[in-house]
Formats: sequence, structure tokens, C-alpha cells
Amino acid sequence: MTNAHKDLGTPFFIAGIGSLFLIFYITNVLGNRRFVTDLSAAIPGGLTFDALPTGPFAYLLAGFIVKVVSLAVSIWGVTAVLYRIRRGELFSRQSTKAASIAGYGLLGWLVGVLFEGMGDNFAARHLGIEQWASGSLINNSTMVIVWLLITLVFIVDMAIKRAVKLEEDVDGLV
Amino acid sequence: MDSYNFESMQIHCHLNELLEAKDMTLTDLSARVGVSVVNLSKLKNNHAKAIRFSTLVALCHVLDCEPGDLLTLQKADQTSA
Repeated sequence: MTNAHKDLGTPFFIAGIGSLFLIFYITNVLGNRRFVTDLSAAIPGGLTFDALPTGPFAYLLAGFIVKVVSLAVSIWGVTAVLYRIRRGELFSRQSTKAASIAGYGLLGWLVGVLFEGMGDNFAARHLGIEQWASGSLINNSTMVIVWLLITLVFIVDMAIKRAVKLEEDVDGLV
Repeated sequence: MDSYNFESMQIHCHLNELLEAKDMTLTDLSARVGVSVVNLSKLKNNHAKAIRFSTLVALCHVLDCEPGDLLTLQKADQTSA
């Protein structure tokens, strides 16, 4: 195994851990038939599918689906970039596309969070809950980290695009 | 004004002839100028697309020649004698 391959072990492992967490999230929600949101802790028994009226259920389901799909897309994008690195093709059009897709996937996750937030508010009103830890993502530093990470992904995408151009410029240069 | 068809011309590298004249191998040249054998081979076979001035200076110094001895402008379909 070359040094380059050894270096890739850690990122592949981390991407694999991310995939595992996504699977845990999906099986937790679908297996227990219960949404896991900021509102969950405020309701005895949690936000079970059966206990939710149609409106909040639709929003929460939409949020869940959008989050899962966008995270899966991001994991695919990051893994695709890693495979390109393993093939010695980091500076390629396919890599930039994969990095872009990963970045947009993370933005899609934020859309899912938005739907989930709306679903929480809707459910809280229906269930008569007035005091709960709403907007926790906005009220603490978590969103700063989220936006910085998304920015980093797009920076990586820009760096790869620039490197592709530079590589084309120096191709055949002695 | 006549239009000049640049694509009909190409730079031809006479590295092979200069190496023979100096009784030097590509490997020897590579060690002396600090350019890889792969890149020198590209240059020798006219597959290089660009050359750094530093490479040109090193080659001319080691081969004791001028840039015009190493590189000439020829028609694209012209073969070297």
C-alpha cells in the first residue's frame, strides 16, 4: 500500500462513520416511528407518527426526507472526491462536480432543518405546547460551524477547479 | 496582408542530434540539468508543449549550444533529416 493510500484511510473511515450515523438516524426515526427534533424532548413519548396531526406530520416528514437525501448526497460527493484522490485524479472535472454536489447537499440539509423547524412550531401549536427549546440552532454557535463547514466545502471545490486549470496549463511543460 | 497559418508550423527539438554529438545519454543529461528523464524524453520526441527558461538555460549550458541549435521552427509535416 502506497503512502497516498495510507493517507486516505482516515478520510474514508470518517466518511464511513458519517454514513453510519445517517443510517442510525434513519432507522431510529423509521424504526421507532418517531421524529427526533428539538420539540421531541418537550413531549412525553416524543413526536410519534400516530400522535401527530396531518399538517405537522407532513412538514416533519418533508424535513426528515430532505435532510436524509441531502446528507446522503453530501456523503456520496465527499466519497467520490476521495475515490478520485485514490485514482490520482483529484484535479479533474469529476472531482469539482463531486465537491460542488457535496456543498449543495449540505445546503439542502439546511432546507430540511427549516422544514423541520416549521413542523415543530406547527406541532407545538396543535399540541398546546407554548414553552420549548425552540430555535436552538439559531441561538447558539452551532449554525456558525455549519455555515463555516459548508463554506469550506465550496472553498475546496474552488481550489480543485483552479488546480484543474493550472494542471491543464502545465501539461506538457518541461 | 497575408494571413499566417500558425497551426502549420511547429517547434522541432534537436535534442537527439545534440546528445549524439556530445556522446551523452538522456540519463546523463537528466542528472546534469535536473530535469526528469520522462520530461527530457517528451522534449526529445517533440511531445512537450512548453519549456521553462530555466530548463532551456540548463540544457544550453550542458550541451554547449544556443537555443536556436536546440529548437527550430519547422512546418508541421516536415521530418528531420
